[in-house]
Amino acid sequence: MTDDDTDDRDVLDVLTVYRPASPPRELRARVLATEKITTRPRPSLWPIAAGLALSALLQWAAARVDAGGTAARDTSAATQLQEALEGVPDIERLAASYRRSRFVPHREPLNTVGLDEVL
Amino acid sequence: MHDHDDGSGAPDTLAAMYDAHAPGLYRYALMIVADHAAAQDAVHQAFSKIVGRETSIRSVSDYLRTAVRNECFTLLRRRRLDPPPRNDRPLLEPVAPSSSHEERLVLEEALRALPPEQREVVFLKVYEGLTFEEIAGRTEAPPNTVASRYRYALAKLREGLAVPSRARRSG
Repeated sequence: MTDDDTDDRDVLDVLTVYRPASPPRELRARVLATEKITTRPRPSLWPIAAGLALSALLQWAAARVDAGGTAARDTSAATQLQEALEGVPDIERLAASYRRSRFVPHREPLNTVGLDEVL
Repeated sequence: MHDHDDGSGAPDTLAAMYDAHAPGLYRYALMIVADHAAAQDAVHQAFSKIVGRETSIRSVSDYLRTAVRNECFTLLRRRRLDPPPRNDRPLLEPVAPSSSHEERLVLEEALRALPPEQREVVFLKVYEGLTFEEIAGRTEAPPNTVASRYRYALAKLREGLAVPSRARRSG
């Protein structure tokens, strides 16, 4: 293996009259356009995150309001039931207690489903 | 025609990097793929990879050269299924007054007939002035393989150039 080119002068003399062609002008613009695309600022995620947080907050608040309304309704029904049971004989109170234990809890309107049966 | 640098003090904007490296890279790519469109794609891809990473690359010049070479051989593997059109722009441009249109066409035809690996060695040896050892380091081929590719390439080029030379002399 030698780098001596003496024997190849005939071919090299022709090759060195030319060189591979230069890049076309449009390639420069094409490459520089890549920089603009690649370094374009990414859209901020803050508005999306803020929207999600606000949505979650609203859902939580709605759930609290609903739970509060249900609790208030249940408290009201229990009070009405207690008032209705006052003065009822013990055997009937036991029967009412038994029936009440079979009521569908919380969201069923106790004052309409259960009280008629008790009274 | 050496446009090497060691990467130190390399220009830091893409435009400056392009102006410093693209001409040599493009000629390198063109000699490997023998097709202007593919050479443009290879150079474009190489620069795309470097955008935003300039500061983390030790030698921009080495990085770009390796990237262009890899892109070229990737494009050539894909091209086996889809050969490019032959009415391409000239591969070569004259740099001496003794050039002739006919001779350039014959030389281009002979170059296109070479395997890409042989064209690459011819470019690195003749136009970049590298030794076989240096070419071996760049192409990850044994120095003897590099030397063989060069000898085969020159023999084929000599064969290709002989016919018009005789024709010119007899005409």
